[in-house]
Amino acid sequence: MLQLLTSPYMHIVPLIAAAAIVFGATRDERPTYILANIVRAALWMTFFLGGIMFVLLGLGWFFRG
Amino acid sequence: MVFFESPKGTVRVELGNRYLAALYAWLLPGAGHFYQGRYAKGLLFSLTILTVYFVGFWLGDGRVVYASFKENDVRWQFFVQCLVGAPTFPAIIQATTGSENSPPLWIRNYRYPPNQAGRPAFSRIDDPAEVQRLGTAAIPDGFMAAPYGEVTLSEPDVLSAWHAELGHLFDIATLYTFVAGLLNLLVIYDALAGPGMLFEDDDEEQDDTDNDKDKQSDDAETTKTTESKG
Repeated sequence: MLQLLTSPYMHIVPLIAAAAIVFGATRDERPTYILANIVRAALWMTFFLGGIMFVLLGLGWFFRG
Repeated sequence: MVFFESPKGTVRVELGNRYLAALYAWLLPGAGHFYQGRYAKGLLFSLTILTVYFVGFWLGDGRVVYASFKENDVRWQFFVQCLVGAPTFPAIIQATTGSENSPPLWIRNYRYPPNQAGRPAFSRIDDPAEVQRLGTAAIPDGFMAAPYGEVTLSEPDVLSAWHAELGHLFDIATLYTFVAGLLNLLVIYDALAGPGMLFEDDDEEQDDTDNDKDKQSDDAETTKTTESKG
């Protein structure tokens, strides 16, 4: 767990948060809708990037193994 | 004044002089929204984008934002980084003042030239007396300036020394400042044209309503047809 927290991959977390905040806030003017958009964007980006990471890990495991 | 209408209500946005707002938004993230009186969004954009930019700047030790079009070092990322506006202006000033071989306008430290006995080539000089001893042979490292001298792919140079000192942080810091520029592009568009409203749920509801109406009209037609047959 500590290894994950100190890994370079953790640098993506603030970027996802910032991108979700800005993207969500440019979609609406009403705070509740902005908040909903931020959460939606953050989840979408996390699962999308996480999916890519798992595919790459899988490919790495397949070609190494 | 621009109105955005959806089945869930109307949103009124005062854009003022939208082109001026877009210019302000480029000059300083969030400034365009402050000009339009959209203070909360302006503050949110300002804090978010400037934080990402300056964290990247700090991670890269202030070296990742520079404009360079030299051979082997065309810094294309700067075109996106400069969307953050005023915080990148020193890099433009450094790139446009002086000739290619003149020292940068603002120097932050010096480096050893190659072929110095006992000193790794292009390593940083921490002792001011050493800088005086070397005189013009000392290599200047400018603040937000391109790496001094030629950039080669086979020999050590200033850029390779930066990479050696920063490691993977050079790329991560570049990414942070790059993303800050991209995000400010969204903010500039928001100041120019208002929010890009998403009505996914509303559309679904609207579709449901339309389907109900179609169904009702079909039923009515069926009834009419049935009546005419009868």
